[in-house]
Amino acid sequence: MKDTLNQIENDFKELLSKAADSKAIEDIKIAFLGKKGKFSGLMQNLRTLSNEAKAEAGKEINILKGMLSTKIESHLNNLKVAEQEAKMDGEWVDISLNPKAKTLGAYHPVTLTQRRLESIFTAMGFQILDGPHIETEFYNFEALNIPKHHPARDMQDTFYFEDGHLLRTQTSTIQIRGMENLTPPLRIIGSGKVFRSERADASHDSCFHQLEGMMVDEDISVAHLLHFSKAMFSELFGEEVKVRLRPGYFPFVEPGFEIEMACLICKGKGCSVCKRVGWLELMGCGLVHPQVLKAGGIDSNKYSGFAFGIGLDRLAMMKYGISDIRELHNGGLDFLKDFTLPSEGAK
Amino acid sequence: MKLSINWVKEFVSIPTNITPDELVAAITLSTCEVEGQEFYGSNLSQITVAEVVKIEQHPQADKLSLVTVNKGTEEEQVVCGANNFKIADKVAFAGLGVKISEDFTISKAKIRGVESCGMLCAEDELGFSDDHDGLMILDTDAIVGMPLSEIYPDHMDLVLEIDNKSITHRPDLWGHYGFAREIAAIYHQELEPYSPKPLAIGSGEPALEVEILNSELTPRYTGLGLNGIQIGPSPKMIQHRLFRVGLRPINNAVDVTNYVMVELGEPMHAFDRATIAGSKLVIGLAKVGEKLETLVGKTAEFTANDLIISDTKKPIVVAGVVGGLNSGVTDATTEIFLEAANWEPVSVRKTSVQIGLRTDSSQRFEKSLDAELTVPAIWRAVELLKETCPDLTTTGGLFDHYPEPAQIPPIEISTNFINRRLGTDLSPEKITDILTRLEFKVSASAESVTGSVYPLKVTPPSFRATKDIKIPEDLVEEVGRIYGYTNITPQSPKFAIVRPTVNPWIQMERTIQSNLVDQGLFEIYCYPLTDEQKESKFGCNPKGVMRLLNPVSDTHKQMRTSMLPHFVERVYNCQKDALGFGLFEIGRVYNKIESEGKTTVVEKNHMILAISTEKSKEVGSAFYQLKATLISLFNGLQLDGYSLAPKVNLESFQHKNIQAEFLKEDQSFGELYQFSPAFAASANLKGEVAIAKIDLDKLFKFDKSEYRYSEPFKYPAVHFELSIVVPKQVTFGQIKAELEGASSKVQFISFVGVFALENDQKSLSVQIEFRDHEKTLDPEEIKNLQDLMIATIEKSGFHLR
Repeated sequence: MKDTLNQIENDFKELLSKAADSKAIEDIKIAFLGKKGKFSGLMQNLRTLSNEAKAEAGKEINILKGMLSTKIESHLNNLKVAEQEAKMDGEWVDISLNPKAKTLGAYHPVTLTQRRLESIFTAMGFQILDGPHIETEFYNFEALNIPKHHPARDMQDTFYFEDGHLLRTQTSTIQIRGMENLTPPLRIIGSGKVFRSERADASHDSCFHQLEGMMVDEDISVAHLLHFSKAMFSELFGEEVKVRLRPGYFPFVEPGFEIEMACLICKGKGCSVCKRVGWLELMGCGLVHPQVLKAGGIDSNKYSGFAFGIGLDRLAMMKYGISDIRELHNGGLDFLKDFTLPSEGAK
Repeated sequence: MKLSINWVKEFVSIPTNITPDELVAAITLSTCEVEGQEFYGSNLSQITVAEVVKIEQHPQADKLSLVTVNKGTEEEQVVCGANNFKIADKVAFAGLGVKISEDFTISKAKIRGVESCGMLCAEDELGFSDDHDGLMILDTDAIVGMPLSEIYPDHMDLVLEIDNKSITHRPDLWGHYGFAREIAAIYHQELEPYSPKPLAIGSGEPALEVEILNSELTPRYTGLGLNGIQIGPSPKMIQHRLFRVGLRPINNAVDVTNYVMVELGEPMHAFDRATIAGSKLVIGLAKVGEKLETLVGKTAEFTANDLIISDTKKPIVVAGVVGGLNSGVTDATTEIFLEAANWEPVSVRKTSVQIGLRTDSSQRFEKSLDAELTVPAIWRAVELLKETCPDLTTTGGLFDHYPEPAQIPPIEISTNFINRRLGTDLSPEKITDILTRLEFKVSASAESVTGSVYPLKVTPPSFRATKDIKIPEDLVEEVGRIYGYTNITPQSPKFAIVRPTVNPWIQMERTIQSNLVDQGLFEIYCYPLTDEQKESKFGCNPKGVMRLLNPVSDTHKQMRTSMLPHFVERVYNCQKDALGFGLFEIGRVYNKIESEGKTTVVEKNHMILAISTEKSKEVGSAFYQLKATLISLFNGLQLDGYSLAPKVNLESFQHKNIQAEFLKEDQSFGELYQFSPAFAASANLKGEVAIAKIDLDKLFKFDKSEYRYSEPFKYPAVHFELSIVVPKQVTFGQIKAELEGASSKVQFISFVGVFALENDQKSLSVQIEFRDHEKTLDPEEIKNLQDLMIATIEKSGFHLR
């Protein structure tokens, strides 16, 4: 019996060492452990033995059987791993390709600028408003303390319509409409298209964009305007900025200012970016003229406020290095693609 | 306006340690914007008087000569192109190394073969005038070798360019004296009083009788007759100053009026007495159609609103704007009538616009000048004229019409108000000091002082009271700017927490923009201004169009009533780069509606989209792509319950079979189409282009659907695929509706594919999903459902493939 078992074990080892794939191992498994395998033949032979010898032989057969089946399983497993490895070796992608590219479109650069500012202002508690583009003289001029024949009307080359309406020359019209509909304390901004009857060139266009805002409460002061501007521009430019006010004339504010920021490149020393002045003009602003508060239905004895206006196109042009304002209304596909990234992705 | 600092220094001394840059910064931070600065005469100390000794012809060039000059120590030969000089003339010599301009420094040069060691200068090269006709010939008594800086010290000057817009509200700053006053206040300096010496006034009636018909337009009129005038050039210093501030010297009489205008800010006029018919001036409104040829060459034609000055026969001056050629000073003039007036600003402005002539004079009168300036202006002009006309005498007395000298009411204010507005804590003494330096009269108000409130009565000086300073806020600015805004400490306002108000319109706009950009579309902006021709190509109705009165370009004459024309142009332009792209614009269209004599302007919010693709075998590929884009967009906006239906009334440019409109709540809120082949060809569009227009006002108003949780399915679905042969015109939607209607167990029908068959038939494959929510479907039920589907198809007259 022992010899027979030894013989079986040797045969098994030899066959197994030659088995190259899982199919061959499955065949070995059937040949040795299957219903008609070598072990079932052995079991037939056991009947002829004495009970004692039967028990002895049975034990040895079971040990060998267990060993064989463990070897088969482990061999089978090794082979499977090797086969999957081989499969993976054969698989490969070209990571320089992007055959399923999803191209992203792009926002208009003025939308990008407007959204950036609007999110800063909404975070500061300002409410966003808008108004009509076609306005009356009242909202565009009179309510803003610019009566007929006021020399300040020269500063704004206005498009008029046959019926006396006009195209708003400034988003300040939104302030008046805002004050009419809201009660102080209020913090509002309005942005959108404005129009001037100017001949177009690289830095002027007949249609451009402004963002205008105001804050009205009791005892709003120049010191508040300074703090607000500094906070707002620091967030916009992503670093602490230095701002200063200088007198500027706008009929709808008193006192009126131009707000300037120390040039971020030279820190106020003067360089080519700031035309050697050291300071960049950012926006017109001031304390709201009492006449304007009155026109908006607000008690100017009780309340005061500050107001400001920013040109969005100039800001967008500065930020993205656009050299001709007319591109904003005419740019072709190559211009539009400057505000998104290529679908080929990173290099 | 140009500002000569030497001129300013006649009235105020500027501390010597102040650099030009510091002076510019001080004016910028306290007063107004300085646009530029220009230095004059910085090379004059290196340019010397030389005497012409010899003039020879240049051997190689007909137009050049070789000039030998005596520089004092030695002689020098230079090549010269001018020929307006002779032996013994005194000329300005610039030697080697002298910088003439930013890009020209004199160096040793061979000109047509002859060496030249310097240059003889023309006036424009020295900044004295723009004359380049010949060399500057100096006075015969000029000392050879003396630097020009000693002869013309005033010409070594700093000239600032003031931004006119920044002094629109400051009539007092339209002359040098006004700036001297500002600088005195800024640097705590004494201001020289403006007190020219009056001549002994001749007794009796003024030289001319002046009749003023429109006193409301003529707040003040001052005039003086002068005899003994000898017309000639002004002294060099006056000529050079006028040139530096941008005015052309003409003759002594005219120059004096201009000089006083830029010094004091009061425009003046000099009439030639001999040209005035009769001895009377009449100031009044013109007769319609009256004309006057002006001194600047342009003929003004008047309306009944224009104020003019006439003699007994003819118009001679446009009041406040410009004088007439018929009465101006000429070389032969010996007697003049000198005018310094104060005109009503709106009238001057209107007339200046009406005749299309804006002058240095009208520009100043428009700003509301101080009526107190007229008399000092007259005497200053007389004082200056006396220098060139020693025999000057007055003819008759001073005419002065000034019926209502300005009454300036004091402004009641408190120091507390000023401090609250500025956010400062300035003492009453400090505030009073600043206002006093600016020539405001400050007195403690009768009311008593309570706490930190110091009431003040502040009376502005006449030159600030015409318009600029009226209310307490105006005084806040005066104190703030002289105290220095840079000295104010920033402070955070106190905020109350209030219910936030989000703007749902902005939110919708942002969702649309992000959704479409994520889907690969580019946002563009088009001009809202357009022209009729462009609009008519798209069948826009010209009724109710808002037309501009004053367009600046032929292509921007009216407001667009449709976003399509400009947008299609942009699609065409983008196709030059590539055919596969998508564009969108959110914007407005404009219209007016007239009803019962009332005009209402309507601005509608629209969105327009385009998808451009390569030419495709699949009909309507761009249409389907844009449809998918819009459905994703509407999903993003949580819009539900809308449908697509073919449009009944098509525009001529739309494809009759590739078009649809979006409907919801029985309203059409948008359309989607491709162009007709004929239109696409005429617009030079390539590939396939689909367009969609969405009415954003309607989209905004629709109720949006909310997301809701639903129980997960407990029992599995069974799928069944069918290929059906149907005529080409039968839609997937029809088949879907038929099948869905056949059993409640039909959960979902999805499109699998379609291809064309012969005889205008097509094979349409769909997948049907069966599901029972109560139990798992057994094989028999499934079989029955499948049979029901096939029967439904056959009942509709179609058959399976």
